[in-house]
Amino acid sequence: MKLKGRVVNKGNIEGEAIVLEKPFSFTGDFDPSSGTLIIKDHPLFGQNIANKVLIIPTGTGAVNAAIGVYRAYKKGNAPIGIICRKADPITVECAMTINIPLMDCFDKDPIEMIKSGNRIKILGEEGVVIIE
Amino acid sequence: MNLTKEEGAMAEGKYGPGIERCMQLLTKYGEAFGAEKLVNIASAHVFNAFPIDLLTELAEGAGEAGTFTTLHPFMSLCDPLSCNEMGISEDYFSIRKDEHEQRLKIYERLGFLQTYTCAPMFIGNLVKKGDFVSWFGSEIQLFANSVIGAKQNREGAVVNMATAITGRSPYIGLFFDENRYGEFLVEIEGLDLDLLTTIDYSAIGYYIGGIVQDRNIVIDGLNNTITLDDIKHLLTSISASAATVLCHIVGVTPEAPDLGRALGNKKPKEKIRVGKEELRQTKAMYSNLPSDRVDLVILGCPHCTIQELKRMAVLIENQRVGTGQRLWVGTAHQIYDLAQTMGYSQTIEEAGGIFARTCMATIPDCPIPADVKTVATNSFKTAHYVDRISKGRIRVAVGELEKCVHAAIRGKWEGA
Repeated sequence: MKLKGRVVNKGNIEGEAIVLEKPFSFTGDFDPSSGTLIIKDHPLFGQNIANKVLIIPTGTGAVNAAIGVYRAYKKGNAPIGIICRKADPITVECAMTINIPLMDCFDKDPIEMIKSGNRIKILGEEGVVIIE
Repeated sequence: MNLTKEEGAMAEGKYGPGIERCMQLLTKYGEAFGAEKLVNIASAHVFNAFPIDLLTELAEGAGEAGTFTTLHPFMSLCDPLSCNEMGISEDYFSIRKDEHEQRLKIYERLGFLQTYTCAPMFIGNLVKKGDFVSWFGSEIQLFANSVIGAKQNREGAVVNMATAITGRSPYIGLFFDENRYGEFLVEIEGLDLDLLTTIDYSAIGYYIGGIVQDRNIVIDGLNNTITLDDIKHLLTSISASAATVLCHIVGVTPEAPDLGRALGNKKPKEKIRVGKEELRQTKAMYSNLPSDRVDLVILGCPHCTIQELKRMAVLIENQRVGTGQRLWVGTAHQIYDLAQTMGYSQTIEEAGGIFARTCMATIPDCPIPADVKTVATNSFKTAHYVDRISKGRIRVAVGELEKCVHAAIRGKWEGA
């Protein structure tokens, strides 16, 4: 299946999806030193997002979020791509700081179409996401 | 994006790879939000604990920064002047000291001012209404827009650093007048406005911050006699959990002489009321400690003004911080120097208080003394972060400055 969207930051990657249904914060929901999700009482608590493609509605991170993401990236704990319904400034900044592909504004809702564990491809030149 | 000739040269690497990388970041970031150009900014204030390699990358080959720039506090209590006294281990500090010395060399090249405070507007980084600014720290982003009427977008540490180095910011968001109108109306009802205390204002802010998300706020119904210190605490409490950087206070904010103009003569998207019950519930979140014993009192989130240090000195004169108790006070060293000239600093230090140029909200992000199990503070933002960072291990109570100073002396929490 194919989704068409807007390319915010370019790049081509392929990886396993991890989908969060609620707005995500790199400062409160994620531990940069381990790459795990630390959202209290969430079914994905403790799951690792390192080297995965993060699918989120939007972001709610604090103004120092990109610093944490950069530290995570240096330790190999950062995601390799981000897909949003609508990207917020902090998430855009995070993606650009570690230069990973970021797409948003799709023709179909990525939160509904993509399931955690799906293999997906971001074709960041064409503005296409392929769900395998 | 349309760049000027000069900006084009910056983007092409004529001024070195750091400026080139900053311009690439700013143009791509701007384009994501529809920017057609960059604008010159009047002043910047940047995060101090930047990762060395990232700072090196952004500043490589760059000379004097593109605008007047001040520095945010030390993080993790790693102020070289106070960390020993605070009981931070030498091993922990020495790595960070080395990193800081590396950063200092870059700061000197860029001409950044070594202010180490989260409230740079009180020590000379002040701008005027309508200026485009890039200040790091959600509470001073709120202050710039809502008190000064300067134009500040909600932006993160990396975009902010690139902006300081180049002096340019994408023309987006709150830089446009039409995006600055209030959307989320807060009506103050049923409160005796003449009796509102600093903690009342902070609680109002903390309550609003928990609901508002990223919408522009309008607060209607406060007296315009509210003090600047109280506004500072109100805005800082909003910033603990909100993602907005504009809060019109009707009658105070330059762009909000009345409710109609604050809202752009439109209906708000959402309306809430804040009265006695909301205030009571919010204060009750941090009103008690398990045994009334206070191990540590934290003041200075945001950093104390000279007025607050004066009040503190009067309260603590001829008294002592109790045995086994601690009083940590965050302020800029420029304010500390003035307080020293006036004798306040000595009074507070002789009583056992310790001054630091550090972030006072995020304190358990470093190995603080293990016997600290309870904290009293006059800041909801400190309470919010201490509770979350310590994962509830450290219990926090919030109360007026006077109550906090008394708690430091007696070692007991006697209520807000």
